[in-house]
Amino acid sequence: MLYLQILINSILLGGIYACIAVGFSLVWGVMNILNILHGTFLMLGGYVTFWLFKLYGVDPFFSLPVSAAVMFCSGYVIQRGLINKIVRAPMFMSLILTFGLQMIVVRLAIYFFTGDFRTVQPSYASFSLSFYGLIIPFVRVAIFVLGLILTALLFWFLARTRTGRAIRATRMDLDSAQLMGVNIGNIYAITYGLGAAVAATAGSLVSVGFAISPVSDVEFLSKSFIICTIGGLGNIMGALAGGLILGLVENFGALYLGPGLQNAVGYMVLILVLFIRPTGLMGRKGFE
Amino acid sequence: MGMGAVALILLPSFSENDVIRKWMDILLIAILAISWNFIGGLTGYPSFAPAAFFGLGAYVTAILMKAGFNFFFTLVIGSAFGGMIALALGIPILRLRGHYFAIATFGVAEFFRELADNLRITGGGDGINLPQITGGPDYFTRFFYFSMLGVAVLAFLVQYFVTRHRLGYGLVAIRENEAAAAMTGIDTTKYKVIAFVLSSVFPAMAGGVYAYRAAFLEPIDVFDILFSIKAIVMTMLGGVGTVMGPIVGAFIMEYLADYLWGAFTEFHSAFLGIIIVLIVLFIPRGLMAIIQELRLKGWRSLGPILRSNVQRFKV
Repeated sequence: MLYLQILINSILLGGIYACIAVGFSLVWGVMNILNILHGTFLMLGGYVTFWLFKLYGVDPFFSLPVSAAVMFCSGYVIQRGLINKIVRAPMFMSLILTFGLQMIVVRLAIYFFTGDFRTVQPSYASFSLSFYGLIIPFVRVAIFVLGLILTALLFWFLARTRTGRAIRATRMDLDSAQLMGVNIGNIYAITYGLGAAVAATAGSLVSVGFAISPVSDVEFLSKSFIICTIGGLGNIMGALAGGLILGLVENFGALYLGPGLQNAVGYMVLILVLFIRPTGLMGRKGFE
Repeated sequence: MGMGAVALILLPSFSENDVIRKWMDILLIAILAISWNFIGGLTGYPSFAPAAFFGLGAYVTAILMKAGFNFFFTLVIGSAFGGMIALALGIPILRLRGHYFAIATFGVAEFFRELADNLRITGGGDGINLPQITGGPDYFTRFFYFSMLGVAVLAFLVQYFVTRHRLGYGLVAIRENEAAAAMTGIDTTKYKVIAFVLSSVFPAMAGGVYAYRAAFLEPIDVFDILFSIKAIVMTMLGGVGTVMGPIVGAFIMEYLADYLWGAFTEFHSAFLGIIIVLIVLFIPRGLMAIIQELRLKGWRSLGPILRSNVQRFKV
């Protein structure tokens, strides 16, 4: 029974992890940017939901579009105004630039939001289904389902819309895409904005079930690192697989080695995967 | 350069203790920056590992001194241990390129921190106490200053010789084009691993000095990724891959920034972030490159030089 419960917990957690990593994977895959701001977008999305709930009593699940819209615009502006200027420089430059931006934003967030841990506590926060001794918290399930829907939406957008196709074309062959009339600067900014929007929505979801603070962003970021490395880059199925694997590894690692080593196990898997199969489990080009 | 060395040696004889302490911090960051320069600057492999080896060295000194060993002995053991770990990790990790390498080194640093947080020998999250140094504040400020200076001079000299040696040229060749470097007969794996080991030995040694001075260690203090970031930023400010770059960068950041923004200590990390953004956007090649060009072309061409340093890409 214990194993079944842990399995359920792992899958629920894995769904959220996938949702956390998808935007990061998209930005890395299309622009070859290691986006240190990714965790920050998650954190800010969580705070949008938190403040809307706290100040105006908006149900957390209704604030998802708001945090997505706000972060899409911020992401678009950051890419257009700053990152686009150096996106062709050695890839290390974009990494360190987003690191600088992350330091500024997180410091401001600590100033304005304080360093306290916050959780959105709607009236139904403690509801849970239980049968045969298994406990399935309602909020976790809702987050899991919404996270999967969000991931599917992104998949649909990239596969079916004109803009989505332009993004994929840019990823596959930059020069050809440009020759076909794709405005690369704009597509890059849209991609980055999308990554930020998906991250922010994931952050909003996370803020319902988990505690967040301005410095949570590093944790989100390192989870994204691990998930994308396990699953392979720019591949939505890879992010799902990576998320589930990380969820399983962490929960069973905590069971066998003690809860303190839960994160250490995650990093160990990261390093092992890089040793053995640096392209990840499903590393391929394109999004199909 | 010689003048600078003499000034650094004489500094404690005419300075207050807090000035000496300030310079100790500058030296520490300079050591980390020089170390990063081996792998990140010369070889072009973006590493977050300095923090990992800094913490490693700090914990080796803490554990051994607690067991009663001599301080200088623990520095030797700590740096040798750091070098060995770097050797073992470097061989698989250095097969990775670009972002994957960066993530792997980040993973290593975080993994070490999680270990230190959970192992019994490191005292876990509660931290670990070291024996206190005996003697008055004048004595131990100078003791740690000269220890740090010793490590810094060692790191600087090694870097100086490496850049003038076959090894240094080989590393730069790897940075510019690894496949071509291999074609000309450079054993790229060996060279990269040597660079990685060099970039780990000195942080481990500096970590030992830091530990004895702090007298108390917590995993979060020494395995702080910010140490790596600072090393990177200082090197970039001064000039990536140059001999003086890391030192110039460390000096400017730690000293001048302190005077300019001393009033807003709360926002220290935000200012560091702003500086990072400005460096990347406006002086990506560092100050040393600009100074060198100024020497050649004279002050009049300052404007054009600054403009040519800023690469803009039309996308």
